Amino acid sequence: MRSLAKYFAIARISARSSSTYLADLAGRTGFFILILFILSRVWDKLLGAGTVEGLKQRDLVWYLVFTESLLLAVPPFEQNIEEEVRSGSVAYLMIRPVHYLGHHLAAFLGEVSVRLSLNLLVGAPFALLLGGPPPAPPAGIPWALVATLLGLTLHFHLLACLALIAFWLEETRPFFWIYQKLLFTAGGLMIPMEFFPGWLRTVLDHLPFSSVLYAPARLGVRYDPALAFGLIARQALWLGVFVALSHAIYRRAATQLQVNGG
Amino acid sequence: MTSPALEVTGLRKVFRVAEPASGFAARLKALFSPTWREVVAVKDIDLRVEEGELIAFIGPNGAGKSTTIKMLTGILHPTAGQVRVLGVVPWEQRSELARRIGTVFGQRSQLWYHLPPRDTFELLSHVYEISRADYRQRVGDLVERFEIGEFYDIPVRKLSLGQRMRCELVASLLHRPRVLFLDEPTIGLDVLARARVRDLLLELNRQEGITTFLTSHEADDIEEICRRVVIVNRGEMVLDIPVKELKHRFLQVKVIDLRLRELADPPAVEGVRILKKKGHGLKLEVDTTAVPIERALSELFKTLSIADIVVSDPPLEEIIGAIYTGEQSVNPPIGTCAVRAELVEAPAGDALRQAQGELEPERHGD
Repeated sequence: MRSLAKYFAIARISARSSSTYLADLAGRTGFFILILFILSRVWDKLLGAGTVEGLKQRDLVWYLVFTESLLLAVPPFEQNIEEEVRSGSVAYLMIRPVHYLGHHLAAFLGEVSVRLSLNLLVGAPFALLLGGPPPAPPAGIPWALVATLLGLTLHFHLLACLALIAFWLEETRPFFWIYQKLLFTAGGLMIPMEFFPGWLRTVLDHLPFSSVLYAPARLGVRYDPALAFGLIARQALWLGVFVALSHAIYRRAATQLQVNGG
Repeated sequence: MTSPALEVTGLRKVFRVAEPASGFAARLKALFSPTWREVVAVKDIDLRVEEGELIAFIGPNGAGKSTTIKMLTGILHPTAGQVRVLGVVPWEQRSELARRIGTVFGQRSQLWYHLPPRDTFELLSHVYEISRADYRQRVGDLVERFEIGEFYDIPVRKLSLGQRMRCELVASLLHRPRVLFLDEPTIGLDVLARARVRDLLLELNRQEGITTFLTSHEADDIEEICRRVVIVNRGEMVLDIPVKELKHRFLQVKVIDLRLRELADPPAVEGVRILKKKGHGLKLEVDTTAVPIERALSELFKTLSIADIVVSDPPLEEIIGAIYTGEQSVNPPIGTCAVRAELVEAPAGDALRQAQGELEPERHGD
């Protein structure tokens, strides 16, 4: 229990620290509103009163609020990991009685909680104004929250895998760039999976990207127990894969660091 | 006999470094089958540090200090040798050791920059799993001793370097470590702040008996904090000696500052040379291997009318600097002994024996 308490403490201090950047957060929020406004007008023009796979314009506005809130809530923590690897300070964090990746995950979730709350606080009235009341019934909220936590944790481990490559490669930015673009397209940042043709959706369903943004946003828009179970099971599966992979990479990197100084 | 805080035998670290290739084809080939070169960073270091000792571990950049500290704290695996810190093998029981050692790295902060020190201390109490009651008592005690109460609730970014370093020390002491590793803890501090940190470290050692392992480029830190100094160069331990003895053994020169009542030239005495002469001020250097200090003074008193006199040793940093650079003496023109030259050139064993007096230093110059 004490062991878990230390990670909660890290998350708490990270949340408190991130709330000191109010000017930075306000700047991001302005950008967030602009994106929401433009895309909500696009959906309005494209869909009007129609639906796609049961999703109405109102659903899509709320979907956008959720995906954009999530994406813009993510701090550039991978740059910190990369910097720690390059500068060698990763070694100094290893002599604390706390797991290196666990430390970063806790700090990540702490910071995300502040940013995400702020984004939703700003985005929700905007969606109310442009789309109407939230479509998901209260029964869907716990599922959406679980999917959000799983999606963010998966996102963390995906990025951690890429950041830890810095142990072996000089330049890792292209990997982040590719991942970000895949998240935008195959992850359903602006377009839900329902809008993709059947064969393409099947392919994308077998990739981890939609588990990051689409799954939590989709469950935030419409609650369907079968869909919720399917999406969360897939998230859990991918999370298992990337937790194992990131820890394997970290162990390998740590061994290399211990044996050969990084 | 109590077990030592640190026990190091035959510690050795060899790094494999990929040779850089030139030309596209060679670089492509090197990507798959690089040519490796071995770099010996630490060569067979033997060291025993008793509980409560204050030891300076110094050397020029690239001497192997950081690599050694990394092995002592469990960050690096040695290529060969045995290490026990507080009875445990650091790289095998890193987590256990982490709870019993404290670290301060002068160039890396463990404080959360945008938050007051209070928040970092609170976090560390959870990281080290300190009970609430113990934490409250400990932090209260340290805040008082280190006099950080007035800025305890001010964000770290607004603190001066000296204030920040005092907070770093408190952060490293919360979990009551038995060994404290300090890597350049006074770097960047002004004279007053450095003196304050040094006083606190001494007080801490007196009150809690914490073994302190210090690296610093500041001679004042070494002289005022530590009782013993270990000098490494090119991965080898070249000297392990009490700080006081370092001065006496390696210092065969004295500096005499004179204030004369009447202008006059000093007498010609073998082993005495003028360093500076300006008005009634005269600064002389005496090679005590050529002339005893008493005789030099007596010759000066015979011929000069002296209003004031100060006899001092050259600063410790000159001695250490000479050992690092392998100069033949602290003041080369007079020349004292060959030890310093050979400290760097000779194999570690010889250099160490010589430095510790087994080999007679030979005179140079005159």
